[in-house]
Amino acid sequence: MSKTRLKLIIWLFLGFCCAVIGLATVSVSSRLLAFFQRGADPATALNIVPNVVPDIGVKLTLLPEQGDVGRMIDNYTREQLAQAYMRAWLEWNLAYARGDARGLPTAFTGPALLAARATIESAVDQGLMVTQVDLAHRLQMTFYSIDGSVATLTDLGSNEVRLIRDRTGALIYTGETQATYAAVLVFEDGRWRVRQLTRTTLEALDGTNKVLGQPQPAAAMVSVRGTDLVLDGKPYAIAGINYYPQATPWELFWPNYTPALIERDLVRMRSLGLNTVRIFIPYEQFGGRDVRPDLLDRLGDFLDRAHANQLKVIVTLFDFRGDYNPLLWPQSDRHLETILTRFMDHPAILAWDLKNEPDLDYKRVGRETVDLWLAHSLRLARTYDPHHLITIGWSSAEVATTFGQALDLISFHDYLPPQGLLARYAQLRTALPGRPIILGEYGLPTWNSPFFPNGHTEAEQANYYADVLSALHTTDAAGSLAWTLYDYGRVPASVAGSWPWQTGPQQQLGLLHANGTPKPAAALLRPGADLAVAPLPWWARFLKPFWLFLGFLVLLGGRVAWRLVRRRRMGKGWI
Amino acid sequence: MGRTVTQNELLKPCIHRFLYLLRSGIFLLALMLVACTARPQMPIQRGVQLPMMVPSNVIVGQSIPVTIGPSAEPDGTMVMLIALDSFGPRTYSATLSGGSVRFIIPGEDTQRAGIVLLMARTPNGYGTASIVLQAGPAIAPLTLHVGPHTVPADGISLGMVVAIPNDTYGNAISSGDPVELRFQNPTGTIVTRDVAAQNGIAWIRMPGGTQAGRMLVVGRAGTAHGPEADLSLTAGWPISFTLMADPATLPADGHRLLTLRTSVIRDRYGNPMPDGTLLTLIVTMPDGTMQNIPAYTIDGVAEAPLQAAREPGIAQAIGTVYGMTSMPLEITFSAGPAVGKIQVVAEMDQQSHLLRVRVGPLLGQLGQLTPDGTLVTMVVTDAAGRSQSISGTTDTGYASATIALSALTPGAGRVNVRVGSGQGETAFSVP
Repeated sequence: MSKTRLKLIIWLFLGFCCAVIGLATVSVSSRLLAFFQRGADPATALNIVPNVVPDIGVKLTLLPEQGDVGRMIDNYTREQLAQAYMRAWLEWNLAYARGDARGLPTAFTGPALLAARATIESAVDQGLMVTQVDLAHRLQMTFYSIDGSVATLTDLGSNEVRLIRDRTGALIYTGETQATYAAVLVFEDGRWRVRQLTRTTLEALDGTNKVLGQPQPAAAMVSVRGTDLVLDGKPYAIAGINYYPQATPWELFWPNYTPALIERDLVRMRSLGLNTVRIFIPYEQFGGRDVRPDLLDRLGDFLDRAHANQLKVIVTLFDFRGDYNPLLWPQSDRHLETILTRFMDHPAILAWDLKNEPDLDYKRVGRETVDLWLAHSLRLARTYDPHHLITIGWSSAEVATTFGQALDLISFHDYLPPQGLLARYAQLRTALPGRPIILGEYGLPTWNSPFFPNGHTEAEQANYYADVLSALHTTDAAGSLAWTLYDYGRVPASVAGSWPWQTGPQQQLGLLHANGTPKPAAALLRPGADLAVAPLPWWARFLKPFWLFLGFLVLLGGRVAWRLVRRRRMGKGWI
Repeated sequence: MGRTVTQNELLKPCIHRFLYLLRSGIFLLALMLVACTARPQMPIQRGVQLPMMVPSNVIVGQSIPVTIGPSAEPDGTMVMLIALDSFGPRTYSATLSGGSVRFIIPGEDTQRAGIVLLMARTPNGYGTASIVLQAGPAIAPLTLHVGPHTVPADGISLGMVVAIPNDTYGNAISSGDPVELRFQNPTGTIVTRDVAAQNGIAWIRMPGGTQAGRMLVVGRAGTAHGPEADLSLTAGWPISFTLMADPATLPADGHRLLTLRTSVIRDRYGNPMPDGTLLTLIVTMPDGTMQNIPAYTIDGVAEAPLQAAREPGIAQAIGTVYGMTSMPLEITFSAGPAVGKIQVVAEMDQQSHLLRVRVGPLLGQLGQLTPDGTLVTMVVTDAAGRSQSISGTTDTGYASATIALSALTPGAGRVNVRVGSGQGETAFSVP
């Protein structure tokens, strides 16, 4: 390349760079200029506070008026009054959250405003951090003046949750309450405001061990009799599996729902002798507060197909929901209400599993908060679906005693060596006599890697299953559900992490290979299956890629060391 | 030749560097562990049930003794008491002494009526109790809301009075507490009604009656009184009324005014319409034009002036208020202002090249001069047959006007004058 051409190329390059820099400078400076000359957005001048926050999910029930209420209340006014009352609660909650009572005059006036403001200021002075959320209201209008300036209402079922922390951030109170309030509202400056608010009754809902009341199963639904599950008058022993489609596990399941594949998998489960399948409903993916109708239809299709294949379903709710902030509880309540009321009569459902392994959130969120939400949701679940059993999939037998008296079915997960299973089960049984207990998840991966020692063979998996099932058969357990049907190609990082030694085992926990062929353990799940699996010789554990690779490395190392020693002896130095 | 470096000397800096890196690593690891470890949360120990002794009912503003114990926990153990009233929490703390502790919740913390949840906790114990704070007696002034402020005294419509009695701390008084409401009707009779407060208010409907006027309302709750409130009772829908004109007739001079006046407009119970009630007078003039004249009642009577027509004839007027229409009233505008033959003189003013027309005297029916300012229109027709109008106004019975000769075709012409029913004409010749 000639020197002139090289210079030309350099100059062209420099010119191009200058042009780019120049254009960028003009663009940025013009945007800045435009930004500072634009002025305020005219829309901000009309800062109209909406009466109802769009994403509020507080349950509002309007009861019909009774007796003489002064003046007939039209629907519009009734709605306005209810919204004003709800707005007052919202402003009150927000004032607590911010530690600032500025928003209260929007919704309160007179003595109620003074009292609410004083309380919030007092809480701030005392260093209290109060989280207060109203979850439901049952309003009955009791008076409406002829000139439309005064109204009273009674809140016959105000459901509230409060978390109070002290100066150090430590929780000093968590509680859910059910209260009755009498409120006087006056119409001022074009809007209704709460002038008086008096709590007249109060019940603390301590749901930790509160019996919810027995479910009332309809025909073809599973019920509880002592420590057994019963279907159509006969004991029902769960032989089940946790399920995701092979190609679309976890978050890919419902968006890629394919009825033909589901049908195929349900037939496979049935052919394995299984009678129960456990599935998961991701909270956010299903739409949170506003449950997506299309996904709800898919869930309905799954249940219909399961019913047609004589399979019962344990539906696990709120999967991957880790935010227990009380401000979001109304949204999860609506999620629960939508799903449970839709399928409350579905015969395929064996139980609602309220949350998968919520105890794993104890450390991050705090046990009080998690348990408070669970107790609240348990109560609601029984209200929305009085027919089906309710359970929680605890991550271990040790923690499965939580809410033991409140749950219809105790479900724990166990991935520990099966040798201690009987002891763990016995401990749980002692704590919860007379309640049906199932092993909701267990399994052993057949993943192996040359670099990590925690691999297992399919023969080991079969032995594991034989040991677990044999142990369970000696107990009064109401059944078990294995994890999982298939080996998967990928596992989201949110499930078990993203390191190879974390995802690998998760990918190969199935009883069927990715191509659908069964592993030896698959034959053991069928009720009455022969669990006499030949024990493995002691050396069989070393016939795995890791140990073989390790052996190879040792041999290689030995060979290299031998050569080095020989060179040294021969006076040739180390290298 | 330099000194031979031993293996130890070579290794030493490496070892130091390795140890340095190891120390740094351990330090960083410890730092990360400290940073990443979540703040431990002490679980709330529900634990042993703590007995709590509290009164079941207390009047707001009074201090509340709360005794907690006996507890097996050692003396000096911190006890926290949380009081959750209608509006929010307050916390108190003290230490166990002799197995129990006594709190006095001060009166300034018990000012909000309603049920209060009390929770006591120690490291190993938890107790709850509740207490009802009852509102105190109502205090003055007792607020009354009267609405609507005005109702028709038609025997059907109702007013309403709502009392919102508060105690000293702004709490609504307890349900069932009596509130006395007194009404003084426009007739002067006084009615007393006792109402029980419910849901924070006491209310009652007030029949409007049939007597228009002002109804006074006064409330009392216990010893608390309040200012008076009032309710205006107005007449109901009007019934038939008549219309009259004063004077009954006028000459059609386009100037004079007559007064249209209604009879007293009343409702079926004889209550006159309230002052300021709008009545519309619809007048059809002799030439067929219509006028809508607003009028407002005073003492039940509405009146408005009507200007005389220019043309003689009969005008028709009706009054309408709230859909009720009066019988039509006929008003006669007689001929005028001038009658008979009118003298007209047309003179040439050669110097100023004008034709000067003088009309008069213009006389009324009784021979009187027509009012000054009466408009007189003169129609000048020249030799070519072209007509032009000129006008003037009367002054002491005479009116005059001029027209330029240049505007007229030379030859014989005529001037015609018409004022009211009077007419006159004259001839002229333009050279």
